[in-house]
Amino acid sequence: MPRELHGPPEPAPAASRRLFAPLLWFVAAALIAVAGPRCASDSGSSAPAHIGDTFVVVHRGTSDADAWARLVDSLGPQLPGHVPLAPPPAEARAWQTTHLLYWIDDAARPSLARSFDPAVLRTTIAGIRARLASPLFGQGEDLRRDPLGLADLGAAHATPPIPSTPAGDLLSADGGTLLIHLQTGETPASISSHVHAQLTAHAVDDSSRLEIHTFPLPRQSSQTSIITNLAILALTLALTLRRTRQSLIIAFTVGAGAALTGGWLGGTSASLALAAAAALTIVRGTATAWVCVGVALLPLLLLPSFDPATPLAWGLAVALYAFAAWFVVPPLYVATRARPVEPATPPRPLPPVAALVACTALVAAGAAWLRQAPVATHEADTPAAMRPLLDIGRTASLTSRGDTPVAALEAAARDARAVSDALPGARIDGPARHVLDEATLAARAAALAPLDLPGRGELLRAILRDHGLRPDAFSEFLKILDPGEQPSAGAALAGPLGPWLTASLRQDASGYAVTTRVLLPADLPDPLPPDLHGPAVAAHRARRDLPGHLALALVAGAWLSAFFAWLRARRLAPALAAAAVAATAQVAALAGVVAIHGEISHALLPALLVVGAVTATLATRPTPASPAPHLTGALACFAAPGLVLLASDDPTTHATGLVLAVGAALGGLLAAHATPGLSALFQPREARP
Amino acid sequence: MPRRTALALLACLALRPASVAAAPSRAIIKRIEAWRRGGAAGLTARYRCTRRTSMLWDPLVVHGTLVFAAPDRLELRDDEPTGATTRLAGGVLTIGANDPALPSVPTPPPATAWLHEHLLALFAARDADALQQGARLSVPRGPGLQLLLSPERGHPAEAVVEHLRVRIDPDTGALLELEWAHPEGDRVTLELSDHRLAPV
Repeated sequence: MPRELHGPPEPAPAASRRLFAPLLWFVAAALIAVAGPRCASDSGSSAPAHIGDTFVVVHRGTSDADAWARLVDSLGPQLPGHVPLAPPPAEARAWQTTHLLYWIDDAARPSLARSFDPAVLRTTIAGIRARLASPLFGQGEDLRRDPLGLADLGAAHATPPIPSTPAGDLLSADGGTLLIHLQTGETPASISSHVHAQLTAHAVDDSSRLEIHTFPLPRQSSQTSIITNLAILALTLALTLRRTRQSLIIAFTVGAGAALTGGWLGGTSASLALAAAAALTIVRGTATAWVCVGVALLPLLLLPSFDPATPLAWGLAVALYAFAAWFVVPPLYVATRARPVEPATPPRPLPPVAALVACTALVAAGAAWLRQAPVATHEADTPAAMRPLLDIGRTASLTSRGDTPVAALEAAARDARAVSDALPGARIDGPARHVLDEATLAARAAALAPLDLPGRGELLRAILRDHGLRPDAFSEFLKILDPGEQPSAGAALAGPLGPWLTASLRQDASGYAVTTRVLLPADLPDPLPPDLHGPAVAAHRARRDLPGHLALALVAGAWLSAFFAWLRARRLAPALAAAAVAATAQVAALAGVVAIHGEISHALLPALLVVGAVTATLATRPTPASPAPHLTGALACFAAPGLVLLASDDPTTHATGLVLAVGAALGGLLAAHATPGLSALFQPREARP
Repeated sequence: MPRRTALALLACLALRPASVAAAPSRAIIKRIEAWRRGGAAGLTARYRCTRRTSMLWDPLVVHGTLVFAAPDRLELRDDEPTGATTRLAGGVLTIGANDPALPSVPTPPPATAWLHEHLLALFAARDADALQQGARLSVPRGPGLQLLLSPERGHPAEAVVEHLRVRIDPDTGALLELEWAHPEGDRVTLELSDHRLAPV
């Protein structure tokens, strides 16, 4: 039998030293809990801690049309951190028209040449003349600026379908919904008060409706979640252990641990750590068990979508909780004269074949469910009111940099062209829509040269006259047939769009940066251009990568579980049985999530790994004669955070709550009833009893 | 619709809270009342369409037949082979040159929906609410019973329609003349005659 500590040591008899560690634990936790927020607010900076994207949607309701029109024109610039989503429409239109021929890419070059064919020119103008007879022709069509319909050939630079206000905000086609983009650290409540002040100032009545959406999605307060967790934990432990003092001691100790680790472990991970620590404390986890749980998140290092600091933060937190289980809880039991918990009733193990059948059935059913599981991508969920104007779930971002404004704009144009080539059907928005890089300009000027545009301009004048049309009415179009004026970055900065382009540039230590928005097409290729980022791209990659990442993390987790089980039992059969039971619990928990919640995501992986590690720990006993762990109490520890996460306002945590509740329940049952049978099956035939 | 019901509806319209919409003046109510008399399930009429635009040396005048079928089908067929046939049905506008050798026209932008919806509302069930949707009503100067509809301030249709003027027959409620003006100065006038109504 290996030399190993079995559970926390018995407390030392010296009473003065006995309570030193608990005192230190709770005083440190109290100091951090009290001083933590003050330190944050004492930073002396009035700048917001986090600047996120906020979208304000204002619905007109039945308010007066004139008051609404005034509000639409002026609301955006009055709000903090206003970022125009579009350039001033009149200036953008003039700029786009002036350089119409340059927006046409190589693919549309044959169509452009055909448009200037003399016979086609005559037919097109005859068609315009015929349709002018229709009373409804010419409404909204830019006949004077583009009689040949060339704008359709430059699809990537065509006029966006969403109208914009002079302030650069988006307005729905019926004019009744306004969308404003802010980049600010102000809270939604503060922004709402700003908007309502403007509504009042513009005499827009109460029928208008306001929605404020922030990205990334706000998370429920970690503090509230932890306190609720602790309350439910104390209650469930008291019911399952039937020992009030022990339950309260464990709840207060892990609560203090949550305060101590709150600086580096928050959100769902804090709830997971709390549950795992409470469970290991109840079952008097060995050092190996604590290490097994402490390294549970190491497989996340294999996945690029997770922060590498997460496993480290988790390990540190578990180490701290292990200290509490060893040096804080036992002295408190003694000091409060808490009666020991009744020993757990040894579970009735399933026969080996039945255990194998149960685990195989669970894994097979789980795998079948998982095969059709849709992948949740909550980060790309666009609120319904925003979707017609700006679909965040389909919009990617592209950041381009340069030493000077001109260089940054050129880089943006270059990057946008590369994305357009890689993603046919993508729509480019932002400064890159209005600028071309030097290489493209040279290529397009060279391609336009053989068309003899000045000569075709003269021919067009003659055809217009022949059909009773005045060439002067089309002078704006005839002017663009002189290809000398190019939409270069320098010309754009000096032109009518200059102020907007300058405002769109961000300056930092490394120069200037420009952000381009890319509306992704419905069918995305794989892989996407690497420079694209944003919720839509993350969602696409999550959908593609999740099955592989899930398999990798679960296999690595199973290996770790088996390794630590072997360290504890020094026999291969119990180690394999513990790993098999843990993997079964994980797969079944995932299938439960699919069946109940409907979809899975990367966010479930930490909870799955922790459930697997705890299950493996509960399933491993150094010898068959070792006392059975108090499984009911351990399960109760996972029920508390499971319930809290399930009841949370944040929909992204519901599935994690299910993993904890379903996974821990299944893990506990399998650890108790299936492990001995599986262990017997894995033993060499000659070693079987 | 009985006169009493129509008057009750108009009274409701006039008594709506000021925050919802400015109360229509007596002159507007008089014109809406006259217009409501002309409701029909269908209409066939002759038209004379005059387009004044800076694109043409001279105003373009064409003659043709207008056919309206409730609730939302409107067709204007030019008599001349050099003209066009315009169809507005189910919210979709198609304009085809009468000469089949000439190319088809691209779909107009959504901003023109305002004009289409109000044209159909004028011909259709004479629903005052549909007429006022997204529009400001006023009484223009000039002879006869006229009503002027303009897009509400800030409405995207402002970019393509300045106003839609209607002349109504004071006795029958028939539409005698429609004129819409483009912000760039173009003006299209549709004079209707020989009205043949289909019964409601």
